[in-house]
Amino acid sequence: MSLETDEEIAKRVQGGDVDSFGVLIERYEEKIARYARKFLMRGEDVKDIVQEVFIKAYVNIQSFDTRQRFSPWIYRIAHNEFINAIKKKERGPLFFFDLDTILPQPVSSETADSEAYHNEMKRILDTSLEKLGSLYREPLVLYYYEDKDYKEISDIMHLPIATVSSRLRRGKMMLKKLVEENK
Amino acid sequence: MSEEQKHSVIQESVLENIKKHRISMRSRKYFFLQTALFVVGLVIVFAALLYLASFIAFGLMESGVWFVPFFGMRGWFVFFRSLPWILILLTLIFALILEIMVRRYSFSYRRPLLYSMLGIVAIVLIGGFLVSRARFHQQIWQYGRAHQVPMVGGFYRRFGAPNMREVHKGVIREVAPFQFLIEGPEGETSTVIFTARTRVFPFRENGFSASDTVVIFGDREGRVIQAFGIKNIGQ
Repeated sequence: MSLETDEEIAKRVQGGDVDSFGVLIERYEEKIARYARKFLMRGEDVKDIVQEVFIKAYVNIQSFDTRQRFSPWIYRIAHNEFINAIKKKERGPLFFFDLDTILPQPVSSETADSEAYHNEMKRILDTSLEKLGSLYREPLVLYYYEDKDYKEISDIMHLPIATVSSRLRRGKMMLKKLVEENK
Repeated sequence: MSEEQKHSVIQESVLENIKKHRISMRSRKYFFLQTALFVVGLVIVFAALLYLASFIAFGLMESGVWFVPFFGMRGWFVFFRSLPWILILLTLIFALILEIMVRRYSFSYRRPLLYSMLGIVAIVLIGGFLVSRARFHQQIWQYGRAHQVPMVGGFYRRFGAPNMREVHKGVIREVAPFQFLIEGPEGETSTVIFTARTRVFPFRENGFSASDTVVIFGDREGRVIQAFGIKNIGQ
């Protein structure tokens, strides 16, 4: 069973196999919970939000195209759920007018990060993530913790690939500045 | 409670809710219908956008406003003053709605908003121009006038070919030295007086001939128009 792809399991769920949905929960629960904790920066109601993500996934599973990858689909549901959770808590507009999504931006190379640099960034993120705004926190979490590439982050957040790249670049710069200030 | 126990709680809770039918999946038909309705909406918005853009182009050509920039700064001033701004605003609103609708597709959201907006504007401008040249609006307007359909006739008269104080379009019926008689779209006739200083586009050695369609740019006093510029748009 474990050799089966997510998409094959999702197809069985679509056919009415409820227990197979349990396999998908097992595979994604920890990832979605980590994404929630890192992005929302709160622990108290993460369990409820993650549960809501899986309920939404089950309710809408028939809209999933099994020829596509399951991972960006469920992360997209999670993203929407988290944004709703932030909106409920913060009240008012979440993301203000952002020129990054309107104008073309240069896309930096994804292969530029070495493994050592990647790990170093993760270490910095562990200590300073909460000091970043949610605008930059989310792409950083998806890139460094969830190992998503620019295209996947673009599909999850529904943002231009160039915007993902520029937010990651700016987020990293902010983090480095924070580290420098704390030295 | 450990992390693992928490996970199993979520799994058990979700599966239990499913099995007890407290949660049920939406049918494939629901999503099919949702997509179909969305596509229908998309087509309606796009058609409305094409209609509006082509109607604006038709109105500008029919009233002759399209040609007034030929007459220099004064022409440009009249051109901007005569643009149907309400229709342009409505077109922009529809373009924005279409942009929001296509933003859910990866071909759109993966690129900067500027690109998809420019794409929509280009398609609407080219499509609108082509539709306006296809006599589509001409036929509706003529039908509206012939059958006295108040809505169609009124709408096309008000927005499509309004009577401008400084722009007059008509067909030449009689030609005399430094003046000619034109017949307007409603059958009314006016005398056009011009001088050697009047700007004429395109300039012809043999002057004007009867049955030429012209756009006159100039002030009207009663049934006489003092031409500042004349644009001959052929027969």
